[in-house]
Amino acid sequence: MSALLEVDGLNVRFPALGGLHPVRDVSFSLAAGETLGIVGESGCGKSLTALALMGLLPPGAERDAGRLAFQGQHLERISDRAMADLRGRRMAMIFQEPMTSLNPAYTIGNQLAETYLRHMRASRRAARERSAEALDLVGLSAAGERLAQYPHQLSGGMRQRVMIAMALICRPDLLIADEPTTALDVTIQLEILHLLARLQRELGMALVLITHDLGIVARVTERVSVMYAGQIVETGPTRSVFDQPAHPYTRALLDCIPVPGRTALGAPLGAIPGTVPALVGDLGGCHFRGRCAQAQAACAPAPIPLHTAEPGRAVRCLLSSGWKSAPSSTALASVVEAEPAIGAPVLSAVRLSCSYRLRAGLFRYGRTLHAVDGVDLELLKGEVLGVVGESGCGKTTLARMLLGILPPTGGEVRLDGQLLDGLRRRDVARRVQAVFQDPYGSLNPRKTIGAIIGLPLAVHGIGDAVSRRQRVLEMMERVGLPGRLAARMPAQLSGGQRQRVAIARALVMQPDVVVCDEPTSALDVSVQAQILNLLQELRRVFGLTYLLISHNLAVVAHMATRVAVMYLGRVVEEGPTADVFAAPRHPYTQALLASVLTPEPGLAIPEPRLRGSVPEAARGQAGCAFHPRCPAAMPVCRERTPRVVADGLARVACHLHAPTE
Amino acid sequence: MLAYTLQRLGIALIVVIAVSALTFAFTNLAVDPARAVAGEGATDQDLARIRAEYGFDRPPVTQYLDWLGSTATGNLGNSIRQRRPVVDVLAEAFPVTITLSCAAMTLALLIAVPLGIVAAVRPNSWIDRFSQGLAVIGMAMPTFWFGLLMIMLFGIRLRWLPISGDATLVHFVMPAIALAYYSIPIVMRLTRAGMIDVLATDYIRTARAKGLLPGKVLFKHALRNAMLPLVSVTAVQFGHLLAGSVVVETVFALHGVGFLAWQSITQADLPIIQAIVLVLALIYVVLVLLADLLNAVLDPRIRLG
Amino acid sequence: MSASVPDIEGEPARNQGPVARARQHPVLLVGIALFTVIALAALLAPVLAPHDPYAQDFTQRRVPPVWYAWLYGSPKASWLHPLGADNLGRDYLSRLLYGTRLSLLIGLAVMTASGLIGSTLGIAAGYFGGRVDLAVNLLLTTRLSIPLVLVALAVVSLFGGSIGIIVAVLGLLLWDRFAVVLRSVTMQVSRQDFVAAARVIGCSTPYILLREILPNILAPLIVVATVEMALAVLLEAALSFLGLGVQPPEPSLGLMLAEGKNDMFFDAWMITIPGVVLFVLVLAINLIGDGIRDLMALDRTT
Repeated sequence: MSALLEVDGLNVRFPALGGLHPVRDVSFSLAAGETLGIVGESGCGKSLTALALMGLLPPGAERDAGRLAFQGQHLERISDRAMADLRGRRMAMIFQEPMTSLNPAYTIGNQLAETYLRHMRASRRAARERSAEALDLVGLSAAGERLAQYPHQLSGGMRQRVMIAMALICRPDLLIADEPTTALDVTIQLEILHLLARLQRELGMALVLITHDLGIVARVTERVSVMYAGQIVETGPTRSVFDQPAHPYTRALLDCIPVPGRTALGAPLGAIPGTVPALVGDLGGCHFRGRCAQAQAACAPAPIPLHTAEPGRAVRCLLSSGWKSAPSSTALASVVEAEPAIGAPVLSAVRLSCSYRLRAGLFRYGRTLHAVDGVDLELLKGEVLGVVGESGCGKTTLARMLLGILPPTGGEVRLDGQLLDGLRRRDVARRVQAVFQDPYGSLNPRKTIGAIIGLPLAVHGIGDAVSRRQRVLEMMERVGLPGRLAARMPAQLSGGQRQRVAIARALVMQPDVVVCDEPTSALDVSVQAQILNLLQELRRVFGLTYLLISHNLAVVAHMATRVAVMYLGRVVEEGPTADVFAAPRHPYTQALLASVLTPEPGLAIPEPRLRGSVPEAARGQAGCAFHPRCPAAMPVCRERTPRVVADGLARVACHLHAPTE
Repeated sequence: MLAYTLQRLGIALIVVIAVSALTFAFTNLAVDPARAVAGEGATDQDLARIRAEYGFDRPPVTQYLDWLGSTATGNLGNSIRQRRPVVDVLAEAFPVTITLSCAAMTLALLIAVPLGIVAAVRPNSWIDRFSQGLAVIGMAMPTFWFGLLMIMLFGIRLRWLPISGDATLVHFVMPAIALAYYSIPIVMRLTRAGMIDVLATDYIRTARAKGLLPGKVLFKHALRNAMLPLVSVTAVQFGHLLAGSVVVETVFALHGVGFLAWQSITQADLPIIQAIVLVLALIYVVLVLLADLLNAVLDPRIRLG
Repeated sequence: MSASVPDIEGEPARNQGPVARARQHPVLLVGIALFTVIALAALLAPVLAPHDPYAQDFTQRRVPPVWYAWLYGSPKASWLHPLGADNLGRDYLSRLLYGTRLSLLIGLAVMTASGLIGSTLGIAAGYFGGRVDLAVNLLLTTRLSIPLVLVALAVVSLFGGSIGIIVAVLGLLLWDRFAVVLRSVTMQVSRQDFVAAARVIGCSTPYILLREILPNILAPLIVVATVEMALAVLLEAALSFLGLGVQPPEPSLGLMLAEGKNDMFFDAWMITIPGVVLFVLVLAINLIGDGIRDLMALDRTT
């Protein structure tokens, strides 16, 4: 059967940007109805490859390929008009950001219909009917009314469904999905992936799924290509690539990911040293050799070809001619050091709330939103408490109140038993510090690294200039940063390095507690592993207590000793990590855990259990905040707020687990 | 939508009252109004008599409220110099200024918007650089100098256009160009920047990914969103044109509001000055209000919340 | 030494200093060059001016510039008055030099005054938000609805045309753009995590405003400052032209244009030359502002 899509030797260059060559010699083929995953970390060129296929490269980009054929038609030198005729009709693409990918000025119906009218000879009425059908197909209810709605009236998940509907309205033969679920909450992500899989089966279309998430690739795709530094380094059936990775990079990548249930709690993750080389000019040989534990002299300077041993299985590595699985690239520390002892509560929140009224007019206030609604929480000395939840659950607001930089509207926070707002800012700052999510925004771009790390010392008047400098350098070494970076500016550092700076800054005063608000969410998987390992190690060395906030359950499962699950400003379940993950009691926790897609091919995508979308913030109605989406909702759930039921260390707030009266 | 409108009206009202109070305070407290009426060589007796007659001896707040009250009913007092109702004087002057400003605004939009769009669609092309250069030169050119140069060239040397007066529409050609010249770079830059921003958005990428043709992407999708900021800017610019026409009107001897204002200031004709400032402020506020409402109509996010 | 994998790094990205980047920018360089020439000339006016700008000489009335002697054979044109003399016999070159000096002085003074007012309001509104923002917005809208030129004219006519009055009234009126731009930029910067981090560290609000936020809003501030300075120069010229700015016999470029207007039918140079000087001065300031703005855009590549 001739392939639907054949790509051979695809290159993308940006000549005006000094020899930037982000896509190098990419080759793959796709049969009709097949699902191919293209996986890699940021900057590896996967998105540009897709844009190159669709003819959507930004101005200034040059594309050339040995062979680029779609349904037998040659695309290498096709005219713009012919390419535009293909786009949306036979090949379609959906993107990562559903919130900004729809034109806010036109209705959904308008944007759907225009796609249809562009490619098919049809009347407006027919287009309208097809649009309603398309919305039905993607699972959006009340299709007729939706057509008249504007994008801003829909949630992220709904908008992504609309995007899918727009892509499929002309029944294309190929759908390219570029990180379609990355920007969505994890429970919604599951729904969208389910939808894509179902549609692909029903419509018999081919799907190219581009993502950095190995879990998604493992569960959804039949074949996978791994990209690194602009090249495809390994290709093959998903199952065999995951079970027996042939390229050292693939192997290392798989080692970086914490898998709940398989990775031991607190054990160091495999990590890949160094960073991705800049994709400028000739890199002389294997792009990965600078970070590979098995690099040899032969790995440079000649370029390594993509070597096909069996049909459908190819690897770009000199070591894999025998198809034996590459050994572990990093020696993992096998000794899990003793856990520090867990003690008394160091930070506690009692009925903590934070609500604000939205201003609806100049002098009038509208509805009240409860970002955090009566939370009771204790952080015990020496532990790692993980706080998980999706967007809008209030975890960041909670963190800021615990840090003392956001005044609560109700309840109190205590540090070692003393009321937080009774303490001086300085005293709190010496004991509680923070690491934030955005490595780009959390460092002042106009200060040097040394000044940034030394700021807490300077503000608190600790030591003199000489001893401060000394301390800063010590701290930098501790977090694995070379001392010569102290004079540089943040713009010159990578994301991982910046996050290390943030950690150094947080620890330079030797606090007791560190609040980590999504410390690795903005980092690549391999860098994430480095940072998580670092955090673990520092905790043991300095005897720290962590409050770890994350939406990534795998990370929390790996790092936290205890976990609290939040939904719409309330804690719905709490307990030792192992217990909560093994036997979750609250329906939301169950759904959340089911949404974690571990990189285990062969397992199917679980069925989504929840209805509706994640609401913006709680409005303070009576009843369980979760009941509109809960599969097990009962009449009482709408009327009364469930109280927290404690059972030893575990707590849960759910009518299903209420003690019988 | 209704709430939005009411809220905007409320702000507008507050602003107008604030401006009127400022104007009144300023003109009446800075200069002795009695002396302004009496002119030079008035005796103290004359001044006292005038004060009593015109009511200048009452407390300031009362005078202000009176003035505000009569203004609201359309009575803006009488011009001291011309001894006519201010309303009449203004009614003669306004059409000239409005004609001039409309002509200038239209000209500016007709030139600046297409240039801005083309410059954005083809960044760094020769037309982009040309329009940028034009913008830089335009913003450095003093309006009155430009006016004088035009008079020299087109009025005197070439004798194509009349150089003063406001008799016919042709008289407005050079003044309109002179007035527009300063607005063109501002509008053009804004259009260009707005278009560039819009063309880089995700929804334009989606439109292209759907296979829509470049023309449709530009005119249906991009332009619609890029126009939004332009509405507000146009309204504000129009307000500035009205207020800033004094220079052009003086150079070209057009008897509009600006010229009147200048005359009144040099002659210390307080009622007219007060009235002009108030009316211009009112017009500005109304323009901004209209722009906000138009924005709400064009942008469903504002309209539907 | 940490057991976790230390960060082996290649060379960090080359960061060109601002000076190096500036060198690649012809617009900025031209602007700076022009401005420097003009500023130096103005500064050194007492040294460079061949005559006293106020000195009248009735034997040299309406003398054209020296090149009229070469082009048209005008008898009176000479190097005595290289750029000619006005209708009272005062040397044009000298008056131009002193007039430019005055324009620069007023421009800088107004820019500083309005900059201080507008920046304070804008930063406060952007950082503190809430009621402060509301109040500043109301103030801003009121200010914007006041017709600028008319009020300036009125003030001068009432209080006289001294330089102090002009600077005061323009300074008190031209702060709106500062407020608008700085408010928006401050809001963006305040939302970033490094500001939250500074609060977590225990920095006081004045420290945060001064050392964390201010350095990051300096670039847009400078750009707005150049725009407002150019505007101030143009406004002063306009006011003087209308007779309600700088009063004679002070040398002001606007005044020279007003005086020349009456004679322009016969002596075109009387309005061309001061106009050109004014134009070049404002152009230079604008080029600098544009250049910095472009540099800034390149700055934000991360």
